[in-house]
Amino acid sequence: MDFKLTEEQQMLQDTATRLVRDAYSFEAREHYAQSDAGFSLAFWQQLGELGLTAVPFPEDLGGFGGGGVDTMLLMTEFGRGLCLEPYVESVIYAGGLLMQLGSPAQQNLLQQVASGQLLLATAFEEPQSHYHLNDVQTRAEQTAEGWTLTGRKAVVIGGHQAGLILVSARISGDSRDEHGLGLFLVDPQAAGVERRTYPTVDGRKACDLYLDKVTVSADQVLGEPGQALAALRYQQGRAIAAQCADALGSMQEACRLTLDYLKTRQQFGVAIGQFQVLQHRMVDMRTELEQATSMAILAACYCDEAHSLERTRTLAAAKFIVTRAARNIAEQAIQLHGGIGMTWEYSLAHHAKRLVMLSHQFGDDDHHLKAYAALLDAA
Amino acid sequence: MTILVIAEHDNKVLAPATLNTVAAAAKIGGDIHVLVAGQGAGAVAEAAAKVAGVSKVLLADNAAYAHQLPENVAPLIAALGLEAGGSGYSHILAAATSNGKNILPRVAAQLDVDQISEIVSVESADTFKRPIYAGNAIATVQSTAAVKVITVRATGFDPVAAEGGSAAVEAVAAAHDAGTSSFVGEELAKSDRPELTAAKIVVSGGRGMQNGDNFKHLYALADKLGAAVGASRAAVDAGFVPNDMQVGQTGKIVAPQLYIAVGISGAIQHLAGMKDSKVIVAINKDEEAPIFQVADYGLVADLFEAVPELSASL
Amino acid sequence: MKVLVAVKRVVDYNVKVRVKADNSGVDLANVKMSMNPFCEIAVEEAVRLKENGKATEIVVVSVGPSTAQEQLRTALALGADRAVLVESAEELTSLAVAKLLKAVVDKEQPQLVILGKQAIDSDNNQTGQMLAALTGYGQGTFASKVEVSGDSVAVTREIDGGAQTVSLKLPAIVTTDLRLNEPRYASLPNIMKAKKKPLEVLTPDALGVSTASTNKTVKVQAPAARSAGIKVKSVAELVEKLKNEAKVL
Repeated sequence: MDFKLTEEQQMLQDTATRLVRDAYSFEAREHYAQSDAGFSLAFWQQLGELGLTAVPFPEDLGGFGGGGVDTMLLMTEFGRGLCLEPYVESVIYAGGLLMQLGSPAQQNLLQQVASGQLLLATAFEEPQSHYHLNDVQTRAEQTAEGWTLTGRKAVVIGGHQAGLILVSARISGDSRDEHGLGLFLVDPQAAGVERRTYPTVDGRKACDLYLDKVTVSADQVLGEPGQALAALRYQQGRAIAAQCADALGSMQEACRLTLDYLKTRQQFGVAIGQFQVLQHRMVDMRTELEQATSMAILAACYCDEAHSLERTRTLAAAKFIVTRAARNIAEQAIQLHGGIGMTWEYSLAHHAKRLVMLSHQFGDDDHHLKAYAALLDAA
Repeated sequence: MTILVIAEHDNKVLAPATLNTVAAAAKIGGDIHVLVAGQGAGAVAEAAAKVAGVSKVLLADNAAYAHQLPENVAPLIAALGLEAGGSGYSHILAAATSNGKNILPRVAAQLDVDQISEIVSVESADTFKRPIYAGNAIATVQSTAAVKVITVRATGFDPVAAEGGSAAVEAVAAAHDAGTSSFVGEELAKSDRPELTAAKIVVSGGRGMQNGDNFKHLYALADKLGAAVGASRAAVDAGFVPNDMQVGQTGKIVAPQLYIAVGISGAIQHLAGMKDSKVIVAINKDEEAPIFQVADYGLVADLFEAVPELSASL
Repeated sequence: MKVLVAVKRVVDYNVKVRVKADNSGVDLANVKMSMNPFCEIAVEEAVRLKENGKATEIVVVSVGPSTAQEQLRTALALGADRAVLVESAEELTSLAVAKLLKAVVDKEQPQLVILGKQAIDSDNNQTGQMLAALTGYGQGTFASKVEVSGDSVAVTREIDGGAQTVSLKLPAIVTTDLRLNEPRYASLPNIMKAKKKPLEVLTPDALGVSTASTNKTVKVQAPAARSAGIKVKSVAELVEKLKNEAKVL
């Protein structure tokens, strides 16, 4: 396998690296996190101007036809800089669903998504759903004008800033049925929509979405009503691949900070990196990182392929390995740093929180291990 | 061997960096001549003639040299280097000031020799040490050039005495005016405090100063000490103070007798700009700050208490 | 007006370099390489001149190994029109590079040549001045402002203690200082376009230039580490030590 980046990919990576390095100093990030948006609108606009929010979209929709590896390069740098922007949610996940299911009129929205002007959010989880995309209790009733939605959606990352929110709702069947799910483009300003915004542990902002008889017109339905689950799962796979790269950047930085600390911090007259016990722990962290790197690359290579058992299994495996590595590295990094690893003023603490948060988004390690096992049986 | 040292001056005063350059020349050994190229620079030549170890001063006094334009000064120096012929100059040295760095490579190219930039030590008459990679490595460089063209980092050499010599001043008639460039104007920062790179004592503030206004504590201390005031890149980036105060790899390189770092954590970038200071004092409330690893005297204290107390006790 | 910009491939400025154990140089194996930061500023200045309608064509040139094509592509992605690589696997001195650039200048006949003031690896700060000497052009080094008008260019230079402005007849050489501008990022559309821009590869032999050198690097060492001193307990103790022990007050 050839792991060498093309000249264009190299330049894309350079641009992302420099951009993040310049815009995302620790203090700047604090400032963005505490703003109303919870991230940097200026940075988001800059991503748009440089074409980076257009990477995964096809050229006829204003994009650059980039694949999983291109997205991976970007996400790794965003992860390294602990970027707060909802790139995965808006561009990869929601954008991917619009690409896959959207009518020509709906796909026109992608031009705005690709240029960064329109921010999308995804509302697929509910308090009881435990990572199962099919576990949906929010109901969609057909009316003369279209549909009315009623229910509650949990942890909608970036939902407070989104121009449109993609909501999954049940058209027919029981809570966990595989069939009967619809996808709706909901205007958060519409009557009956209430958003309760809160900070997440990793310094981002999310909201819970309360839908009370929200009217959605027929042209705001995405794809065939009732058949949404397959596309949801497919696009979540792409989001998982991007998220693995995000975690990778953060893990690389956590390892770098920790190694630096071991070489700098003195105790008993020597750098603490001289102690074999700590060397072993550092080696363990790097071993986890190497495994996670391989799986993140594999996920990036698979995520844009057509649906197959192989793809689903690979993405579940990647998510499992990366999640396990993320948590181990976060925990070990704090242990090796001692008290300083927990201070707000030091970026490692924020990497640790981010890695723990990523471990739970789109399913934790247990969830994906079970999914992987089930697919093994199916094979 | 005869060495030609290019005097650094403003047509009125011989700049102290010249004394460090003469010191480097003295380490190489041989006769030392000093060239004063300027306009109405007689007083500078007189001063250069008194510098310890100088055997002859060449004064090229002409309007073309008034502003040290390299297009005009470089041919003069190159001609001196060449014309001396067999008995001539083995080395041409200038201080690594903005003038020296501007002019000397032009001289080297005219003489068709490689230049050695910013030497910090003399190993022998043809071998020198100089920092590369922003001081992260020290290269030892040997030159086979007939005339060795070298700029000298002043911080590497203790200056020779400004008094004690009695060299003859000889006029050089040559006047080179290339006509490709002209001087338009100059704006020198006015400050009662000494210039950062020339100051014997430097007081620098970092992010720990919290805002620009708090630098007044440092100015008060600097005025008591006759010191210049600098800043770390973090303080400059945070907008506390202007760019030209930045000490570090991408800012000014300083090596004063005493460097007082206040509220500076000691990023490698900053250390690269001040680690050659004779004595380093660090005042920081974080006792883990890396600056303490290079400081001769560290004081773990709140700078807003320690600095006024220090000013008051002087 | 045609503008020639010279760029150098160097170790990325964020990389901490280590000296090799045998003191033959610094270890550059598997180290990230980038365009020299001062050269990025040079490219940016040229692109701005073009955007202002002062420049009509930007030719970017590098002297270095074949991998320096990456940096040339980056310059093309930032807005240069075409690129020239003078390929040489050897490490060249500033004078040799200046001679090669002189040959390219003779070929291209630019009105303005912009270079970085120094490369962050060798820290020589020589090439621009040497190229000016070889071409006989005027030089505006350490530029913080460049204004082209008619057949001359006004360059504001960063000098010790302030700023100086000189006027140079075109053609002229400018070397950039940090505050000249803030280089842009290569945008994705421009990265894609860069692929299609022409890149010519030349050799020193083809240009008829000898790269012999009068300098030889004997060895490269790590700088002497400064050892940590002592902690004082109070301001009074600090003043006492500075007066009586260090004798600097």
